[in-house]
This record gives sequence, structure tokens and C-alpha cells, in this order.
Amino acid sequence: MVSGHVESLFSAAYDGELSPDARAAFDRHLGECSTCAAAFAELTTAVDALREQPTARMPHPVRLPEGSPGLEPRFAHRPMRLPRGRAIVAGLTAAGMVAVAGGVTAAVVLTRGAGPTRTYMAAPAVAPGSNAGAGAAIHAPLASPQSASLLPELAPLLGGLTDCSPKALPISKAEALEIPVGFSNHATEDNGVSTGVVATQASSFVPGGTVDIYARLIDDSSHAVSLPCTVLLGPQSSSSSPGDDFTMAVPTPVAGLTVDGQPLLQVTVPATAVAGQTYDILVAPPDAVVILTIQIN
Amino acid sequence: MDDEALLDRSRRGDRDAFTPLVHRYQDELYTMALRLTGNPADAADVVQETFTRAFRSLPKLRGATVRAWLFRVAVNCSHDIHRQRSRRPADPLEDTEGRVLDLPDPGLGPEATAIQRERADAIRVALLALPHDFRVAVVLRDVNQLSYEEMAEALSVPVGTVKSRISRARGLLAAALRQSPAIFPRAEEAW
Ligand SMILES: [Zn+2]
Repeated sequence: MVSGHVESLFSAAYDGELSPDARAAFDRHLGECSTCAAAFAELTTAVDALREQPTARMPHPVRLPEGSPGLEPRFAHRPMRLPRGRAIVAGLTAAGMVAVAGGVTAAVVLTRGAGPTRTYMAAPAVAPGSNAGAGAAIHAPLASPQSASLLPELAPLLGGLTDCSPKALPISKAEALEIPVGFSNHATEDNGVSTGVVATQASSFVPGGTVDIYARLIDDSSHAVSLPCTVLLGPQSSSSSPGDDFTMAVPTPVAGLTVDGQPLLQVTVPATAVAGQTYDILVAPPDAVVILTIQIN
Repeated sequence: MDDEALLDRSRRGDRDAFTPLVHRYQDELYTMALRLTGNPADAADVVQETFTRAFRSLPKLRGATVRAWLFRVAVNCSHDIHRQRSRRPADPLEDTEGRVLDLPDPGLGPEATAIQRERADAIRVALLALPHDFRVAVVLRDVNQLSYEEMAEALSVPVGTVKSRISRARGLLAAALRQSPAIFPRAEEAW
């Protein structure tokens, strides 16, 4: 009588998860059914054999990264606390949307292998130094320090300046992970909570130059994709004590700048940037999931 | 000091709070990765990568236990490393590097050692034959002895899914080992 077999209960029975009544019925069946009795004995032997395997030992010591837990090594040498009241140069979040109302100047069709064609609409360049430009420089006071995060010394800055919530995108994880053609400077990282992808079309930019950014954040649990908050972070070249300050600009979505109909971000490299410096694009600050470096030349 | 206290100190940038977590979990994670990948060099890479990621990301961990989270990262790393190296020989028995699965108990005589080695080889081959999700399920449960709840957390699936994967995986494991004389000595006599 097939319907009465208890194979589906083997695993729970092995784990001792059956209620006393269910266990009694299970044992009764095994007493009457040699098929189930033999199969359960086989499963028990196999699982016991796996469980009896000894714990193996990690063959060599684990090497931990430099610095403090949670700190990207490249930030580790920077001061943990910023001087109070110091002004920083920051991007103006809303300005980018206004700047491009004038229209789209170029459209480039990108294809990717055998996949669907992506249309990548390039927005007009914004004159460096223009007040209306994305990432135009403003001076903002430091916000009060917040709780520790991946980049504790940056949290006050980012918390005070980025009024940003990630925007859900109606695309799959696989689509999000596929970096558009031409975005050759890219980084992807899974920190166990989220997977971040960030890419730019070049790895070096001039001061005042425009950077188009492909940025996607994938929730590891739900696989939901979003357009993350990002920040462009660099050294403050005019600071009298190098390393004390940061130059920050906030990339923003720009009308007409899309891949597959989904938004990219754009930011202007601060005009104060100096050749030879490096800037970092942080995805999902202050708990940066992925960091991509660009060079100023 | 418990995990949460160490995590708390790590969050405040205390490097010394992180080392005990490494010592506490490295062998457990290594054993898991060894069962998942079948290869000691890959398993060591998984553990190294797991702690590197953990060092950067653990301080911002919210709403999960350290243990479940470490297993989650290690499972992801195992998958990544396995994918990266998919060109390795398909038959793990021909991979000399992978043959030394575990050091047998030094107190055993040569014959007992040989039997242990055969059992270890049989289990390794059987595990590698399982589909990935089922291999992960049976390893987390029966090698690392995670609770159903810890597994649900580590794998981001409901407890019901955890139970059904374990059940399927154990059935497949038993079927894969059925013909192995090292595990089922009577199977040999029956021939
Ligand atoms: Zn039966």
C-alpha cells in the first residue's frame, strides 16, 4: 500500500522532529513495512556517515585586511573624526534634473552579444562651474556625527548631505549585473547583504568633467534591484592639511540618460580636482557596498 | 566573550575584537567549504575570502546572528569560487590536490586509516554529485549542524523550504552512497 509509506517523514524522524504520536505511528509503520524500514535504515546510515566525518582544520592562518573592521583600507589612514564646523564642497542633489531640461544631444545604441539592444541616451554636457550643473559646488556645514558605520569618518558628511532613498527598478538581478557595453571601468561586490555594481566609461576624468555612472544595488535576500544612492568622494585639494577634508559630489539621475529605459547617474568632477588625485564612487553610502576608483588627469 | 559583544566592539573599530571570531569559526567554515567544493585549496580560499568580506561588512550587520551570516557569506564564496574554477577536472578522484580530504585519526592503524579514507572519498564524491542547493542544505545541517532557523537565515529561505531541501538532499545522498561498500559493507557481499 503505497499511500501508507512514510518516506516523506524520514528526514524529520531522523532529526527527532516528529511529535510523540507521529513518531509512534512512524515506528509502527516501519515494524510492518520492510520497504520503509530498509529505506530508513539506509538513510540513517548515510547521514550518520556524513556526520561522523571529522572536522577539518583550516590549513593556514587567515590574513585580515589592514586597518579597522569595516574600514576600506584606502580610508584607513584618514582621520576617524573630521574637524567640527569645517566646510566641505558638495554636490547639489536637485540641480542635475534642472540642468538637462534643454534636451538630449546624442543617442548611442549599444548592443551586448546576442541580447537585446540597449539604447544609451547621452545627456548634454554641462559647463564646468555652472551653478545649475549636476554636482555643482556648494558649501555645506557638517552635520552632527552619527553612529558608527562602514566609514565612520564619512557618516556625518553623508548623513547630512545625501537626502537620498534608493529607487526600485523593475529589472532582474541578472539584468542589473550585466554592465553596459563601453562601461569598462567597473566593480562588483557582494558583501553578504547586498550586491553592488558600479561602472563608468573611463577610468580617468578631467576636473569639471562629466561622469556617467551605471550603479545598481541588489538585495541578496529578495533579489530586488534598485538605483542606489551614491557619492563621489575625493581629497580636498585646497585644504591646508591634506587628508582632513573630503571633496564630495552627489551623482543624480539625469533626464534622458538611461540604459534599457532605466536611469543612470551623472556627476561632475569638482573643478578643484587636481591631476594625479583619485576619487572614489561609493555605492550606497555610508555603508558602502562597492567602491570604484577613478583617476583625475 | 560572545559573538554579539565581539561584533559590538568590531563596530567601534576594534581590530582585536575580530580575531576571536576568526579563531572561533575558521575550522567550521573550512569544513563546510571542503564538503561543498571537494578541494582543500578552494576551501581555504573560501575561508580567507569570507573573513576578508566579513572584516569589511560585518560591522554593519543588522538583524542576523554572526554565525548564520558567516555561513551565508561562505556559501556565496564557495559558489563563486566553484564557478570561477569550473575548468578543473570533472572527476574529483583524479585531482591529486583534492585527494587528501581530511587527515585520518593518527591513532588508527593502517587498515582502519584506509577504510576511513575510502569512506571520506565516497562521501566526497556523493556530495559533489548533488545539485548545489541540496548539497548546501545537507552540509549545513549534517556537517555543521545548523538549526533549521539558522539555515533559513543563512540561505534567505523560509524554514519550510529548509526542511524540504534537507529531506530531498538526504534522500539523494543515501541513493548516491547506496553502492558504496565503504559506507554499506553489505552492498559488497550482495554482489
Ligand atoms: Zn512503507
